[in-house]
Amino acid sequence: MLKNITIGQYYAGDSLIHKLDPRTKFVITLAFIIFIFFIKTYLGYLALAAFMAITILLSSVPFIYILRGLKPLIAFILLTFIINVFFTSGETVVFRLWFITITWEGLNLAIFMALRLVFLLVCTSILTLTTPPTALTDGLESLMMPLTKINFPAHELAMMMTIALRFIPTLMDEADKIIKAQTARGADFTTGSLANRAKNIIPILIPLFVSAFRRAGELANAMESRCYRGGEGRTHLKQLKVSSIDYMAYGLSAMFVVGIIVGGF
Amino acid sequence: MSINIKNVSFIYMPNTPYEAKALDDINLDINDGEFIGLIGQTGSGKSTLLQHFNGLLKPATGQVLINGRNIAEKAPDIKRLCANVGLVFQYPEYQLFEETVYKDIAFGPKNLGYDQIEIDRRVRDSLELVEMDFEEIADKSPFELSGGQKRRVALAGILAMNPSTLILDEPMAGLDPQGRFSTMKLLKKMNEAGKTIIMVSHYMDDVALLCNRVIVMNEGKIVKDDSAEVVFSDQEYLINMGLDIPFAAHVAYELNKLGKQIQSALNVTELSEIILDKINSDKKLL
Repeated sequence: MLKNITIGQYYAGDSLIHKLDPRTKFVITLAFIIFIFFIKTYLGYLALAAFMAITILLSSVPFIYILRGLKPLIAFILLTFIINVFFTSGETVVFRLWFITITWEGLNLAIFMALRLVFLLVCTSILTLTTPPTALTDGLESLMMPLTKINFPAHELAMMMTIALRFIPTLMDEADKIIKAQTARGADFTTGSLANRAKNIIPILIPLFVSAFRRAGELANAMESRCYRGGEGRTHLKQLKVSSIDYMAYGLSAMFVVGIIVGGF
Repeated sequence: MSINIKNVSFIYMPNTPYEAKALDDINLDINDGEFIGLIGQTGSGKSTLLQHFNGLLKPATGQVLINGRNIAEKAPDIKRLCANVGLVFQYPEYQLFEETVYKDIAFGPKNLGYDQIEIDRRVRDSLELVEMDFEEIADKSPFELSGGQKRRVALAGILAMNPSTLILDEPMAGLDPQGRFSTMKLLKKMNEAGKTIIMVSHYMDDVALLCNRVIVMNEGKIVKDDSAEVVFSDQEYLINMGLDIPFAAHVAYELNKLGKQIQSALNVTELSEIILDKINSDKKLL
């Protein structure tokens, strides 16, 4: 059951998109996330969809992987859609039954919100599918570097993210093992009332926390015995380099964004 | 209580690029009172097989029968049947979670629905079995115990469910010689009291000393299933498979390679006698 969760799943490849500097991808993704909320017409979303489709094709990541990333949030997207449909007031009534009123405005807003959420997820999925987690945190660290001047802990934050990402699969395995061990002792996690089931999670959570703390201690020792002492003066095995394809990516994305905004879509 | 495994195969993460066949058409009958050693390299499928004995994993194909009942059935008594198979995972001390040792050991029997008097009796009995003092330890937090003590408390937690078959994955891993010795003594005692025991171990000396039947696994298949004497007599086979052999058997094997015809043995005492006899008979020939 725990094997189905994919967080920051990287799809190994050697495409143009994979080769982009992680900073480029991060900046462009961030720009697009903001930009998505400025699109005002369906035609604009159609153009965005085409742009995304081309990017996905270039990245050689199968479409199915992108769709899989949407799956866990389908319920959330539907809920947002429904709330917007039913609770937006407007003038043009499309449908009325007892206390339910659906207006043209509500329908429009609901579709927009759903589209925005979908594109938000697609954007970030492309980023995480084509960038290994370590490259991503390296890129983030480098982007946050200017902030160290105002005592912002850029390196520490990046290191924390790297470690957190690194330990997701480990903790999943651990949780899986503990669930099995407690099941073997007769624990039941699948039946009973909600309150009971919540109580039954304690035998999983406590060992999981204990082992997470133990691992944290061990990792700290291992890092210290290899002379880790924070980010100052630390160099990288893989130096990030901005190349011509990065400028091209910036140029094309900027052209697209400006085109859509100036065109009034 | 008999356990029969019939044509069982198991696949991890089927229909993904990471698909891996962990068990390949396993057939196995476990009889009452046996002490079985399950050996094989890492990744040979031992742990996967163990988890089939009490229904934690469901076979992709084939059946697991306990007392002739298929445990994949959805009947209310199946859970109880599975609780008769106590499974002790590797490093069981990592599953302790209660405030006190007493409560932690009581977790299993409580889940099985026993009343307070019965639970209390079982907690006391199982603590005694693992040679721990009830008065001294029952109210302590399991987290303030030493590693060896934690292991024994975790073991007591399974024993308190009074399973008729006990399955252990590397019960001696990471223990000091004394802890290892007392665990072995406990297992021997449990087996003599009539419990069936299946143990995965990398310590061949322990396997040779305790088990009367040894099963060797390789790449998801059972490649040998015989008495300890027979399995450990084919030393070359085990060594080529990347497995260890008992110390005494190893010495005999090396002596044989040097041209001394020494009969193999499973423990050092036995081997010393064989070597002494050999020396004495060689002297007589001179």
